[in-house]
Amino acid sequence: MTMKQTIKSFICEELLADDIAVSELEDDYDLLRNGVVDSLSLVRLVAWTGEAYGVPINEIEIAPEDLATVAMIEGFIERHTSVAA
Amino acid sequence: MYLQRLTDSLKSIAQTDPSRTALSWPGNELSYGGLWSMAQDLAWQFPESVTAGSLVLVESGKNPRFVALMISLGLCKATPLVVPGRLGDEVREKLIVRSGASHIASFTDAGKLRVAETGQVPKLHADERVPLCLTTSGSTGVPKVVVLSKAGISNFIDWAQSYFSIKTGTRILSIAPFNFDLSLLELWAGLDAGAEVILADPERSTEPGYLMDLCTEAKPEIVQAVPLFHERLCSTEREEAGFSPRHVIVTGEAAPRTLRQRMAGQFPSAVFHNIYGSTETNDSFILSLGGEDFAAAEKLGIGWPIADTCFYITEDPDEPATGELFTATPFAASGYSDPEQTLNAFLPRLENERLVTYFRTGDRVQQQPDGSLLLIGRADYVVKLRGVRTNLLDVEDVIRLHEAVRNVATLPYRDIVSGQQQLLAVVETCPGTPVSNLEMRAHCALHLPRSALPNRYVLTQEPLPKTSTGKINRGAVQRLYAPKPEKSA
Repeated sequence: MTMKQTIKSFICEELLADDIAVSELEDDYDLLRNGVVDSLSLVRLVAWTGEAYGVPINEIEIAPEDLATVAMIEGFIERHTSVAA
Repeated sequence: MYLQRLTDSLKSIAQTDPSRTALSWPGNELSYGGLWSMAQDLAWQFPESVTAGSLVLVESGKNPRFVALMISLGLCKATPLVVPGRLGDEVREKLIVRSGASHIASFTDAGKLRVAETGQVPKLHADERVPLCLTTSGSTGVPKVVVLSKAGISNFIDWAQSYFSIKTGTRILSIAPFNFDLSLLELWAGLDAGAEVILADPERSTEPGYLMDLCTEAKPEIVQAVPLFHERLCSTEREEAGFSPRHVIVTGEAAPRTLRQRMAGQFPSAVFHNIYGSTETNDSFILSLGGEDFAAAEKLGIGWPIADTCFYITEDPDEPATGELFTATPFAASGYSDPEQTLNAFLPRLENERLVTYFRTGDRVQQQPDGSLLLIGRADYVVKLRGVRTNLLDVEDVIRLHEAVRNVATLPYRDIVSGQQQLLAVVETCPGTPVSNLEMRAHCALHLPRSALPNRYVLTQEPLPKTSTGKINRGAVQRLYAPKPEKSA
């Protein structure tokens, strides 16, 4: 599974309770503006990037806008895991 | 109906003007004389156990036999409890226990009166002669039993007869089933005055042309209905209505502007009334307008208090002049059959050394600069989402703007992971207009603040469940679609 698909699976299964199929969710769909991710689920999403990919969430500054789409979440994980490594 | 003034009026008209028409329906009519003897015949058939203090469950029927049965119970000094027709056995059983109905009266297929004892004892004040009990049209669980008061009904009949000039011979259309409080105006205020009550069968009103044919023939002067039925009255192809009512009354909920425009066009000489009330208080606010203003109003208010109605609004701290409405009308019921329910909804207040009982309406209103009220929605439709007060009806209005949407109901639920209140939108979409969950989210995001966006959406082509008056049955939607605790995790 690619990282994008893993991210989509997390969003669809954990945040959306399977209302949407993974295949429906486009890479550039605005999750923040369209209410898929709100302030509460953002906390869960960030925590998940820490657990699943080792993003050092307590050491970095996180702007919600960095996590607006699946593609941006992938970029966020890649950026911070390479820094940590 | 056990109300002495009504019994006296009916008896007097039956004696002095027996051939006067009391009830009419397609192709037939019944005179006051005929109605009175039907009622007397029935009264003779009741067993002796039906007497003062008895509570007799009767299923509403839109026919002369039902009206005669109601009058005959008055002759026996017994209180009718009118319930909707074809009530399920389980709900009926619960209602009997809840109210303590002592008897059930019905008719056999051959039209013979049948009276059964239930073994229950009526939960009514023994010292009060209760004229009538109705049930609320509650959309969830077992309906509440509303115990009406003698003074309340009598005051209401006086007000209705005077405000709408209901007199001997006035023709009044009755569309709603008789278990609704609308019957107090359409049927009982009418019969008390010697009017002609035109019986429309609510079940046949969906047939194209049924209502219009009935009205063209019977020419009602007063038409009262919920928007659903006004819609059916207007949806005919004919340009001219063929009848010209003096008073057109909208009740139950606000009529949309497009409907109001059609109504005003169809009845150019009528006065239009938007009435607000509930079974517990009967009518409490009224806005009366000419056709032009009725059609032009962007949002139709509920106007000003009727007769001596008092009211107050529990204002929201962040929205001045807006909040939940409490009313005290001269027409109020004495409470519910369940004292605990009464205590929760009927609240006594000391005002100028006088005890005034206010009814908690559960409706949110906004007081306009001219003092009149605008109905905003149910108080329970305002929920806190992401820390912000949100009116669910506003959210639903936005969802309904989408061309693929036929109906919508939003349901707040508690997320078990975060413990926060969240919102589910159940959206009924039109067949053949595909829309995805993500598209619906994007549509809402365009029109709503982020705090008000539903967390979850269910899209379905199944029609959402409705109540008998055409409103969405939120209780049933909740049971069908609300997130199950294990799924929202």
